[in-house]
Amino acid sequence: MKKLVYITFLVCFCSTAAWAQSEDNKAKSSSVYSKLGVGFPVSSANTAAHSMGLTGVSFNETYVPSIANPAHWGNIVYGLGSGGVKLETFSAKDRNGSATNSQFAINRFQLQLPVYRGKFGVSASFTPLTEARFRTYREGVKYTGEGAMRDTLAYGIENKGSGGLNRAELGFGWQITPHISVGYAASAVFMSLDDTFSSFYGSSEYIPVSYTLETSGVGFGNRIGTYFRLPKLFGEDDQLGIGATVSLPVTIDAKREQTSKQSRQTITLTDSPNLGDGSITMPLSIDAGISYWASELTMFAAEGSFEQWSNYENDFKPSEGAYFTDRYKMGLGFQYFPYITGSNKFLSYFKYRLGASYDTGHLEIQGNQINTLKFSLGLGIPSPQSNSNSSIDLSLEYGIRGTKSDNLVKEQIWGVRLTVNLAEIMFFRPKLQ
Amino acid sequence: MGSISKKAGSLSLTVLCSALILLAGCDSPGSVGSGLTDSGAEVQVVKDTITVTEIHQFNSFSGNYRAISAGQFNDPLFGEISATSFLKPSLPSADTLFAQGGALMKLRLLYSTSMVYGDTLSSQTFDIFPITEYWRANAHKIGDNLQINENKKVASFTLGEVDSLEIILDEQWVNQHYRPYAEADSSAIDFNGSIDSTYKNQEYGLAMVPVNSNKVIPFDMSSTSFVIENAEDTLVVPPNQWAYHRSRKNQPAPPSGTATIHNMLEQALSFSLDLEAIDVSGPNISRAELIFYQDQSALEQSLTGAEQRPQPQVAYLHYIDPAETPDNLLPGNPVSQGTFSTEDNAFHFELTQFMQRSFVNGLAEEKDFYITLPNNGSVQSSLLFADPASIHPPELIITYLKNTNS
Repeated sequence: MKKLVYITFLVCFCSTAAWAQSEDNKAKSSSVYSKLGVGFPVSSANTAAHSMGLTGVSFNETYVPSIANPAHWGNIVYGLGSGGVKLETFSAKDRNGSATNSQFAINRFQLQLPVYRGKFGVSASFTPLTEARFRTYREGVKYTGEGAMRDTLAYGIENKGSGGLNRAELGFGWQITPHISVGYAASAVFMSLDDTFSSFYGSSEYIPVSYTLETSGVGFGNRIGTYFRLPKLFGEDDQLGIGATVSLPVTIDAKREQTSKQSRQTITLTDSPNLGDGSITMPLSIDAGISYWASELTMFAAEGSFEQWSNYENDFKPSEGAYFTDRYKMGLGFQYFPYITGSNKFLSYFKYRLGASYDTGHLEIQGNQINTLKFSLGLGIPSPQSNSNSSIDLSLEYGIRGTKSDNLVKEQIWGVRLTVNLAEIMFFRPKLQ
Repeated sequence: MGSISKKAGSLSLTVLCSALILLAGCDSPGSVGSGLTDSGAEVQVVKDTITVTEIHQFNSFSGNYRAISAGQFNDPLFGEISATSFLKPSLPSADTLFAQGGALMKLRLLYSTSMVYGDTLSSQTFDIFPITEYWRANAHKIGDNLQINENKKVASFTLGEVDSLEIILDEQWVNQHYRPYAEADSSAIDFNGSIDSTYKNQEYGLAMVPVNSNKVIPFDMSSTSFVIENAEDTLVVPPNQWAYHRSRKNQPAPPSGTATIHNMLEQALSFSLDLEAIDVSGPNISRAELIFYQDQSALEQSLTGAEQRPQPQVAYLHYIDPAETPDNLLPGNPVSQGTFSTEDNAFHFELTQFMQRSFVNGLAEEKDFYITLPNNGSVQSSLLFADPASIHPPELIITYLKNTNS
């Protein structure tokens, strides 16, 4: 256990040290496409599934908590907890130039507890659904004055965004039969989005000003899932898993204010166009997949997602509605668990995962779908303690998003994720009944 | 197994930490992505033309300013101007020169030729007469004239192109109205109290009255003084108080679309602003500037030869309750001091912070904007475009960051 705490501390320290290198606030950004809507959708998959390009809806591991499918919570035997962080770097290019931005973020927290071991379990989690963290800057010129006093005013406008949607979810899973599980989760979706615009001028006669559009609100969501486990399909050790979840649309009752600061006074406007009260409708999403365990050691999985972003509505940004389109995502993954063999070889100590995904994206700008192709690989490190089932999952991913056509942005994404899966302390291993 | 697992953990952590540091260490924020969508914000320059709604004439104080004016000039654009200066010498702290005998008293005048209003090459003659009524500089108003004894001329002088002059004052006037007080012990008591109070209440000083009509001269009161001198020594005595009277006759109507403004609150302009009508949303104002253009063409064409008008270098914008004018114009707490630019011949008033506040809190219904020229004792005027239909209408230019999110 001390080792696990040490590892966690070391990782946190290194993350902080790494982040401290990017002192400029402007650098703490993610995809520029998170500027649109309520941010860019974030995968709620755990690191294990993420490192295979999957959501994890069609499989689960006994000692690795999963949010992907509520039906999995009916199968849990041990109390589990997990928390994760991620670091992503986005190298973006458009016709005008390039930029490299990074962001470090807390990925998720989840607690899973069996109520009736292997039959009925509950889960509580806090996960980001979308994230907006961007910075754009553009320059322009205005002509001022007339006649002899005609002059050019060079200016720049910086737009920085932060925040997004976060989901606090509570749910249960029920294993109806050894082969069929179902689950349900209710959630509160919290929105907190700040969009700050600042102007700067080439003349000292002009005062830099800024305002922030602060959007906040809450909505309630529902998610149902099912999981079918078909063992011994082609042999004694194989197993087929089929899972699906449906997340119903969420309507967020939100409020948007424009705030500015003058001297020590904060000025809040709510009665201008696109300010005040409004609603944001997040789309229906469906995840489904199939996994095949050839043996205890290997698994192949194919999963897909559909998100009906064409039905996304945002009272505060009605003109952006045309940018949103239905999103489809496909992922193929493979995992290999040599540690199960108990071999003494060094390379046999880990869990290996590999995968790729293609995401058509939820944005279509000027006829260009903002798609994402990602390749990922992962490493699972079981706890060195022989009586512990805790583990650390790492993943490394590389992806390409967008296009440079029509003055759009093409991004190269590098990402590292880490999740600590705890199956001890308060999650002690209970004696088998 | 334990040893291997430790090695595995260490290796993995080393790889992870290196990746974290490398990934986060290569940030270089740029301006990528600005063309993705509409910006959401735009720098807007909004112009609103101003209409001068009223012209106000006040009879305001003229005493103890930096200068006093005297002279006459017939300005084809601004009428026949006449100015008479009043000043009174102070008493010396201890007189030695009169007692020695043979002392003269002079008036020493200094002024800046660039501030002369009228024909700079011609001569202006003045007569100096005793004032015969009580007056106080702090209470004297520019439209108020004082009684003088024109039968007892104290001096007469003519100013040509020089910028200073000393005028010998009539010995009889000096001996009768100044020397007795200068020689007396200031603590001496007479029937009116001390000598100082008698001098204050019973002696009224001198008036410089223009004789011909060539120019109006603003005398610099920081340099103007009375000089008492004999063959051996000189004593300089500053003026005790000063003021002046100004009158204007036969002022023609200004050209269409313009309005005349005179300094010393003789004539001021006022206008109102309707912020609701100005297309500015939000308080994010980066610059607000009010510009009043001068009708330079009319000003220049109305002068001939060596005639000149001193150009006001500043003007003041007040935001006040009209019911309390002119008192609330006097303390000199303007919203903005506009500076004159020779590039566009206009007064430029910087109003950024005022407009930031106004677009948040609104403007007071009972207040209006007044434009005045400086109260400095000189004679200054300007002809400003005052109508939106004119060539260069007064305008309020607001540069702000507009929320264009939609």
